[in-house]
Amino acid sequence: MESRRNDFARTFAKNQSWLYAYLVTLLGNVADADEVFQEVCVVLWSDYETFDPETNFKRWASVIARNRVLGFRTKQQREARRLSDVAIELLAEEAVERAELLEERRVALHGCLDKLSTTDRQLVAKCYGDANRSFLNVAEQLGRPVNTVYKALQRVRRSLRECVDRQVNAQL
Amino acid sequence: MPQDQPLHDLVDALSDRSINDEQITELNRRLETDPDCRRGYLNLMRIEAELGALHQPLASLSFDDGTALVDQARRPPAPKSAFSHTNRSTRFLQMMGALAASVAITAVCSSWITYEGVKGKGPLASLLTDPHSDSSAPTTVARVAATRNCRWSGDSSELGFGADVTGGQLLELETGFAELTFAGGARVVLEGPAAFRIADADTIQLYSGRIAAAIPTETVGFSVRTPRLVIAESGAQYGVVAGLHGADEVHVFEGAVEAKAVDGQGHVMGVVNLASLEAARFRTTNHRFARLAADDEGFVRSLETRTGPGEGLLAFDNFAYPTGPVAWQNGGFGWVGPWADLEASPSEMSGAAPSNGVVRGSITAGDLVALGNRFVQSGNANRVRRVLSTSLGGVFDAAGLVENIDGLRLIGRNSSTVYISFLQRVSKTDDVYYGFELHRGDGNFNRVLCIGNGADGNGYGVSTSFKIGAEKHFESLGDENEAVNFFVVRIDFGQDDHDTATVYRNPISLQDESSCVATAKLQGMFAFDRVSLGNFEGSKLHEVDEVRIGTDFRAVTARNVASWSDSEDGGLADAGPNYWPLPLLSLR
Repeated sequence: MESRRNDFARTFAKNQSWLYAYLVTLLGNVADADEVFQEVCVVLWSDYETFDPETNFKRWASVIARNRVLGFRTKQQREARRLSDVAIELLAEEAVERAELLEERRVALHGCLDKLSTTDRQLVAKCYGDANRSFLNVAEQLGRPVNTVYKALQRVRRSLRECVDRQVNAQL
Repeated sequence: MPQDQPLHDLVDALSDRSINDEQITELNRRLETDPDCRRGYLNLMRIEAELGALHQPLASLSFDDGTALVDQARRPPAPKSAFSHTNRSTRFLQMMGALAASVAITAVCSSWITYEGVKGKGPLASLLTDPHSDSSAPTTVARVAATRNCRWSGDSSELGFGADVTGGQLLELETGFAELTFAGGARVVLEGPAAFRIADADTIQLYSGRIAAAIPTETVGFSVRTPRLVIAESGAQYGVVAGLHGADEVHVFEGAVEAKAVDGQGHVMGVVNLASLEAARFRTTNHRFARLAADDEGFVRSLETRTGPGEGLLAFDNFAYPTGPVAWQNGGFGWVGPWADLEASPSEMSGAAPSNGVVRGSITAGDLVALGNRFVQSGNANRVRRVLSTSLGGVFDAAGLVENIDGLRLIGRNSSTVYISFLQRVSKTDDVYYGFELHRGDGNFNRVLCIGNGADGNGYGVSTSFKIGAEKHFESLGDENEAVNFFVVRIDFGQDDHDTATVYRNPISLQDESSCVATAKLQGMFAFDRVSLGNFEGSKLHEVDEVRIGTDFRAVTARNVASWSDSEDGGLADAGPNYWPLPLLSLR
């Protein structure tokens, strides 16, 4: 029993990064993903004995995660601006199929972050450190206009995405 | 491949939670119809997710390769990159710790939601299935140790004395009391009406009703949870009230307890620390705790207590008296009269002496349930005694234990065996004399056995004034301490008054004497007819509680009930509450 639990812990550890990204993809932001991630983890650990180690963890976990996402959306206000059910179904399937390719992008990102200037790294840290992405707060902390902060972040994002694309393409 | 800037803008707006109606419509249209757009969206969101994971200070969701993290202890440290100041591995471990707590709390909270959704719709057990339970392989997590006037709802009706309780069961106790023991050593008494679920061997979820819990120091990880409170304390005895309408309370009987208030998502909303005989009520209206005095008499804390002799237990006193002098108190059973002051501090010589007194609360050790109050000798030159019922036809005579010696009717017939148990504590070590004493008549010279310190100038140990020939009159009991010590004394009365006293100090088992190692053995003439408690000189307090005398080891260790050790399952028995892997520890 203990061995099985340990095996599951290792499998979970290998896949949790993907699982979190899966939720961010379907929910569209990290704040909602944080909340649902906790719920999904509860269910996964509660049901770990039902997981067959010979099967695909991502596919098994994705079913649970998708159901939790749908449950979360029913609790949201109707007027919330969110992805459509159809879009979610399509993305949910492809996020499992393309998991390995997406993992390359995650690894590449770390190298790209190292190349940022100190100022840009601080900007990224402050903006992404706020799950609600309040640029007003960040602007106050940095003593700069909100619009300036936002534009700076867009610039850094573009830079990082281009860097990731280059690194991934270079490996092909 | 050139960047799809419009898609980038849409993803930025979505992830920044600033997307407008027009943008979300456009994004959905493209995702639903364009595979390249979906691919691009997945690529962008993978970066967004990682950036979020790297920088969330609370969630600490930084993800390295899972294998590397799990196996990091086996790898040499990697050189730090310019961005690795976030210490991802450390934050991962922090996250896992937080997650583990979150898993437990959230699992409980989800059960509350389920329960709240079905209450009032009929028998819960038939309506509610535990999504977390594995019905194919139910696991026994607790056992019904005792019941009193129990009536269960639905399928739980067969939960009688000795029944096993499987994990995940939702139980409704309509009326009466049920005492459960857990493999880890925890003991609880539930009072109907109560609805609860024993999620696993370490968790009891109380939806409504009252529970009294005794959690040994050695029990790790056991918790009592209500929809609004979490109490996960070992080395304590406490009661919990879960009100369906939001008035949850914690009452501490023994030890120190930290109670946490949680919201519906399991987030901790507040913490209160309580000492013995303190209580708190959590108010959902303002999410604050209100402190109050513990209602230690309002909870039924054990169903074991007998009101008279039986099952090998012949005499008992747990000092369930009002606070004040112990003299003239006449409770328990197996005695022929009340406690009497033999000696008392000079200033208290007139009447009953409060320096031989009863104070509120019990002392306890291991998983013994502390009931009633306790005896305390707060002064010097104090001794109280109480005579046992050795008269013709009395409880000890009926048990065949009494013989006439020197004109006295004493417990000590040849070839018989008697067990005595008690809890003892002193506030200061090596501070002259104190002792739990057995006497034949009053007076120091009639002290047949003494467990304490300083008798006849000896240190901490067991001593007698009735040694035989060249035999020793004192044996050490090890290092004296200020903890609660639980003693079991076995006296084998031999031929020609050659008796043997075997002393177990904090025995490793309360169930099986053969697994216990004697702390000391003494030869002498130990027939007795009364119990005395003495405290002379020095400045210490001498406390005694839970005095039991009987003919069976389990009778005096309060273990003549169904418990884990009764199981034929060796694994459970080995893990049962009656096998303490460590010496007993004091609760405070």
